[in-house]
Amino acid sequence: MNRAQKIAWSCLITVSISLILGIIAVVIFYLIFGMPKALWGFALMSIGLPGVFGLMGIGGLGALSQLIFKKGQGKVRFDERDQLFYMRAWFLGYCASYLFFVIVCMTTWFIYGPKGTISVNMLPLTVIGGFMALALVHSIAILAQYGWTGKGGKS
Amino acid sequence: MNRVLKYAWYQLIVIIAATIFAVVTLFIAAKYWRGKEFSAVIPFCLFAFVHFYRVIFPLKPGEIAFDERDVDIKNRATRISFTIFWYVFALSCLIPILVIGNGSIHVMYLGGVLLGAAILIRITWTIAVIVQYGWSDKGEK
Repeated sequence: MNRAQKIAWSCLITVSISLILGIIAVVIFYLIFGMPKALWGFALMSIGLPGVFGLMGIGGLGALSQLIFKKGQGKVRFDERDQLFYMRAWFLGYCASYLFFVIVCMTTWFIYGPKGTISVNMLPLTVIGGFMALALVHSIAILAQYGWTGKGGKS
Repeated sequence: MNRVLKYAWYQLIVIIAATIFAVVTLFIAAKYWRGKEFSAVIPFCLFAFVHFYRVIFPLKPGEIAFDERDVDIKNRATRISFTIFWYVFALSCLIPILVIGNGSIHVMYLGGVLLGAAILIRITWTIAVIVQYGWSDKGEK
C-alpha cells in the first residue's frame, strides 16, 4: 500500500467516525431537546475536519497521517500517474462539496419557504458538511484509483 | 486563436452580459413590477447561453478541439476556480456570524451565496484560462 492510500484510508476512517458520531448526536439531541437544537449534534462532525486540515482535536490523527506516513527515500516520489489521480480526486471532491451545497441550500429553501429565516449558526455547519463531503469523496476517489489494498505499489 | 481560449472569452462575455441583464431585470422587477406575477427564470435565462458554444461555434473539419496542454490548462483553471469558490463560500457563511451575532438570516441568503459562487466559479475559470494562454492568441490556431 503506498503513502497516498494510507493517508486516504486515515482520512476516510476519521471523517466516517465523526460523521457517524454526528448523526448519533443529532438523534440523541432530537429526543432530548427537539429539532432546532438537535442540529447542533452536527457540530460533533467537526472533529473529523482536523483530519483534513491539520488543525487539532480527535480527528487530528488524520492530519498526523501526513507525518506518520513519511515520504519514501526513493528517487521518484510523485509521478504523472499520481498527479493524475490526485487531480481527478480533487475534482470529484470539489464536485461533491458543490453538490452538497446545492442540496443544503435547496432543502432549506423548501423547508422554510421563500420568506422564512434560519439561524445564522446554521451557516458554519454548511461549510463543515461541505468539507466533509470533499474529504470523503477525495479519499474514496484516491482509493478507488489506486485500489483499496496494496497491490504491490509502495512509496 | 485556440479553441479553448475562444471558449473562455465567449464564456466570460456571456457571463458578464448575463449578470448585468439579471441585475437590471431584478431591479426593474423590484421597483416597477412589485406585486405582479413575475417569473424568477427571466433574469437568469441568459446564463443558459454559456452552454450554446458548441452550437454557435461548431467544430470545423480538421480542427483540433484540444490537446494535452489544453487539458492541463483547463484542469489547473478548474482547480483554481474551485479553490477560490471554497474561500468565498466559507467566508460568506462565517461573516454573517460576526456581523449579526446570534440572530437569524433570510433563507434566500444561502441561495444568493450559491448563485454568486456559481457565477464566480465560471468567471474565475475563464480568467484563469485566459491568463494561462496569455490574453491573446500568440499565433496559435
